[in-house]
Formats: sequence, structure tokens, C-alpha cells
Amino acid sequence: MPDRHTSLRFLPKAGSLGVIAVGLLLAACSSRRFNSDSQAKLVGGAYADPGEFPFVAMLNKGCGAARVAKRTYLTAGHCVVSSNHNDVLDDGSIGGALAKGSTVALQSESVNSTHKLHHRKCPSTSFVHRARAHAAQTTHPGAVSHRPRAH
Amino acid sequence: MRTLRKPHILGPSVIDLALIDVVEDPSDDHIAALSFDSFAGTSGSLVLLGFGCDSFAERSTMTLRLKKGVLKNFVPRKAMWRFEGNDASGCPGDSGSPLLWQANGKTSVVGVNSFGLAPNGTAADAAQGSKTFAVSFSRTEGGAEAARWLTEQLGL
Repeated sequence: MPDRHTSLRFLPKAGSLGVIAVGLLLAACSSRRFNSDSQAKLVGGAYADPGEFPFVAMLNKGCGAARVAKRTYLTAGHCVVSSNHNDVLDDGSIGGALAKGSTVALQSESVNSTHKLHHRKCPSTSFVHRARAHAAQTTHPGAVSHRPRAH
Repeated sequence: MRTLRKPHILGPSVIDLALIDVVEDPSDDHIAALSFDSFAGTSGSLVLLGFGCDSFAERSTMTLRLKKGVLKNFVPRKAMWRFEGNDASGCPGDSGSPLLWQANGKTSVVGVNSFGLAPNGTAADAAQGSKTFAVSFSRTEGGAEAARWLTEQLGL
């Protein structure tokens, strides 16, 4: 029988930054433990050098994003989907609805600006659609969810 | 209480990606290259980035400063790359940040940070922090469905 593990969507937890959804997932992975390292970054990485990744931006102080075209940023689907639009997604997606015309704050070394969102696209097979398809099903036993706070 | 259906949200064929278009041009011209070729079996480095926390004990705190880490051990799946047993891993707030492939002096995006796993399945474990947390990225390369979607959406 597989071990049970906690999954953490990589959204921040507190205040206006959104909420981590914590649930159970059946999967196999390492159970070794290390003491936490207060010097570690990321977990276990280092600070990037100035100018090393100038195309990376922080999105609404809750997620990362990569600029992949002149006006287009690639990010995670769960960063831009509002829980208001989906009854089963309750992971505190960073800014609630990122609808057309809403505000997107982008911060990088060279960009620190607020933009109006023109468009948002997710793949047709994204987790959002799958979550909707299973919305009527019962909650996984033992799953824990934190209500998102208002952004 | 509304709850994520984890097996459906986090399953191996799920794509956790979004493209956002902004109205105005950002003032600079730094644009990342996307690579749609599989990097598996070739020589190079995988780098994860993020502005999120730097330990699970401080997981409510974004550091607001970009961090990087090198990933080596990974488990390829259809739509996701899962990394575990590495010296570096993701942390809340890293969602949406790119996974980079660096080879022959070139850097390209090959994935997007999606979610992670704690070692032993409890929030208390997660709070202790660990270097063995798994981290998963939506694949954007290797002929995956996401690669086709991105190519179409970006007109590449």
C-alpha cells in the first residue's frame, strides 16, 4: 500500500498572498528528513545573480512568471484562476479573478509595473477543466483545505 | 468546505499552465526562449527559479527576491516533470516560475512550477522543511500536449 503524502500547491499562504491548499495524494517518494537550513534559498538553492534571469517576473506578489513574448507571460494555471469561478478549486489563487481588464503587477529587475490584463488562456485539458468535471464528487477523505482570504 | 480533488488535479496528465497577455508593452525587451525539444538524455543543467519562501517553516513568507536551484534527479511523466531527492526544491510562492534548461550557453524554458509534495504526508512535516521535498513542473517541451498548445497560442 503506498504511503500517503501531503501535497502543497506552490502558492504562498498568508494575508493577501493567497493560501496553500493542503491535501492528500497517493504517491511514492522519499521519506528521508533533513533539518531545515536557514541559509537555504528556494528550498536549498541560492539567490540569483543580478541580471541573470531578466525575463522572470513576480506576478501579483504571489507567483512567478516568465515573459515568453513581447506582451505575454507564461505562468501556472492555478495562479490565475479564480476560486470564484470554480467550486472545487479553493487554493487561494493569487489574485482571485484575473479577468480581462484586471490588474497584473509584474516585478522583475527591469520591470516594476502594473499592467492591465488583456487576455488569459489555459489549455483545454488544464487542471481547471478537470476539476470542474469532478466537482460533484465527494471530497477525498482527510483532505484539508484553507479558505482563501480576500485579495 | 470546498476542497481540491487531488487525484484529478495533480495526476500525471494534468496541465497546469496559463498565458497572460498584458495590454501595454513592458518597457524592456527581455524575453525567454521556449524550447520544445526534449532535453532528456542530453547534457546540460536544469534550474528552478522562484520568489517564494526559502523554507517550509516560513512558507507564508515570499522572499520577493529571485532564487535559483539546480535539479538533477527527476521522474518524467506524460505532462509533468517530478523532481525528488535533490539538494534544492520548490516552496510556496514559486508557483508559475519557470524550469530552465541551460546547455551550450543557451537558456530556455522547459517547464512551469506547479506543486510539491511533503515527505511524510502531514502539514507538520512540511513545516519542518526538507531538502527531499518533491517538486513538479508542467512540461512545456518534449512534444507534450502543452508544447503543441504553446506553439499554437504563441504563433511559433
